[in-house]
Amino acid sequence: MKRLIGLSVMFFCSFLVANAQTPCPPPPNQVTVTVTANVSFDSTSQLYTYTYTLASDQSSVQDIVSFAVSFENSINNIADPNGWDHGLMFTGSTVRWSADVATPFPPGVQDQGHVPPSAFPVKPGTSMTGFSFTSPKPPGPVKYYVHGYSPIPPQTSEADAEQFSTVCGLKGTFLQRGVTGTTSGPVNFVSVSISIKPPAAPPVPMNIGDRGVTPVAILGSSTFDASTVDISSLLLGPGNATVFGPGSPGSNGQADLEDVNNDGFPDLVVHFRSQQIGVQCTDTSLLLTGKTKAGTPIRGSEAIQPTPCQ
Amino acid sequence: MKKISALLFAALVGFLFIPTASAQLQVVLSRAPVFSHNPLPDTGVFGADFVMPPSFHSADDRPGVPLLGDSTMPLFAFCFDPITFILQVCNVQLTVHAEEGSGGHINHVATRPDGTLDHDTGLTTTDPSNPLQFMYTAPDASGVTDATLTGTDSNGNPIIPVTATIGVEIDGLIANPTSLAGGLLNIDSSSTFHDNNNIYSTTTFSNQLQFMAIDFRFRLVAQCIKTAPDPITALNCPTSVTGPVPNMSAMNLQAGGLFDIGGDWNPPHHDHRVGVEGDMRITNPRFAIPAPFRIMLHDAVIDAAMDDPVAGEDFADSTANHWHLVGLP
Repeated sequence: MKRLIGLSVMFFCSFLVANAQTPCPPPPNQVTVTVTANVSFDSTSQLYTYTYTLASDQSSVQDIVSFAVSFENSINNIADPNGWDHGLMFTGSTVRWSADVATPFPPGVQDQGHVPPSAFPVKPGTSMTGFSFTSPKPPGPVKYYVHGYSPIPPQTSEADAEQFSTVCGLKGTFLQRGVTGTTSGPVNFVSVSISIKPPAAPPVPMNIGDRGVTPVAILGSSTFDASTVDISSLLLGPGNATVFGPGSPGSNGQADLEDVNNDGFPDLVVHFRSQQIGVQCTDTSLLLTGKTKAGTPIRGSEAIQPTPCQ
Repeated sequence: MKKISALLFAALVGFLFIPTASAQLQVVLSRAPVFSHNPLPDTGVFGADFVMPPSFHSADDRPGVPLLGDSTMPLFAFCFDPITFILQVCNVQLTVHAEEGSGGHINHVATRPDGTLDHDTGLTTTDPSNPLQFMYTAPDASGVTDATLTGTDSNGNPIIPVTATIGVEIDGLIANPTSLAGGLLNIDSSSTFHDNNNIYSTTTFSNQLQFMAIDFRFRLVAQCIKTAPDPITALNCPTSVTGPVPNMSAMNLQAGGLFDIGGDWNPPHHDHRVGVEGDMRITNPRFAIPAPFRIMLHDAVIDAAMDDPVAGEDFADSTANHWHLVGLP
């Protein structure tokens, strides 16, 4: 009888071992990361350069091995940090960098078809920059995605391999796993009409030696409510001039809602220091960028005639 | 006299209106509870009379797969006079049998499951709005099932039997050629267990595979250019299509359904059913992806919006070891 019980126990134990699941890997979100975007604008090429820096907090459990940013089409001149590479995602409008250079398997580790660790991850307590691209589109809120290194253990049978990803929650695309947040990236903008020195007609004469202020009206319309503009976000001209004395519309005379073109829609009139605008003799138009209070980028431009220029 | 006349009239009327078996009765099967002696056939992979998806019973229950569970189809039986098309009561029996030579691997010949019926006998009715109904549950394996209706009329005379074909199938899968993406991806699904008849997938999964192959090559070349002096990646730095090329093995059958390369239509493969899965060889000496390149291949898989791939099968058998790829549902 004891022998029978013993055999039964042995059989039961062998069943458990034979059906034991490999422990699931942790999700690739065991990182605390800060994503910083640096955006510059080249007035000659009319391109924005976006550069991102990843800073992994000391408390991160995993190394960062992948980073992605969504964007509105299109981007170019994608650059990678050392040991990293990039690709565009099948689902569109997302660029993904990853630490692609592998380290050799440690001595004694059998090659079971698995993925070796990366040689250039962002380790906890360190940062990495050099993720960059250019785009004609201005900055606005976009999503970022960061993945930590979480190797998936190989399975010993076809059925186990098929079931493992379901059991361990590996289903879903990259964008559905890991750490996500919001940073600055290329977004589509709302095109607005502007009037420089209203009611002057374009091309508007611009004295490059002017040391006063230049009024600019953002024209309201049936499709654009000028009162929704975030005044503090406005930038004008190659010098990226900011609004002089920004404040609530009507508060100090520097930002007023009035109908400058008599179309029945309120227009937002703001003022910029003329010298800060940075008009050059080669300029033929002035670009105004900014965003609405809801964060949607806006852009508008008008033809100018710099003076005195030969 | 009046009474006699009434009886004679009744006998005459009765004689004239007694139904006669003017011809051998026929039966017909229909998907709809509406009588038609010649129902229009469905269209599908096999050109069968009726089309339905296979059942999907898997240990790997996958959210997002719409076919999970039993796949059932009602079949309505009508018995009728082939001349008058008047419905008759007949005692009928329905049998189902998986056709040989359809549905998949070498082992289709003898063991592909037939599917089941909730019951297999019954009386047809003369009420076209309340016909005799059978419920057929498809097997997990795709293929053609013959549904044969036999029986007798109310006098015990045999009726003319009928066989309808049921195409158990996932429609819309495409055959992937042996080479894709300009030679950057190979599809070679033949093995000693079966012909190269499991090269099928959804169009989306095929596009994902091609995207993966191009992305892999892009990453490979870019990294090699940047790190050419690096001994890790410079060893096999490819300059053209002579570098490591991913190679797909088991994918999906022509009409989807349970994918089985064994002999009994049971796992090893639970999945590979709806056209969005495939195995990619990794350590097979002929198609190996060397370890230094696997992060790039893994990234290409992720870029292609597939699930995180799981490596598996038999580590001791390098020809069998592979990554199990799962595409968008």
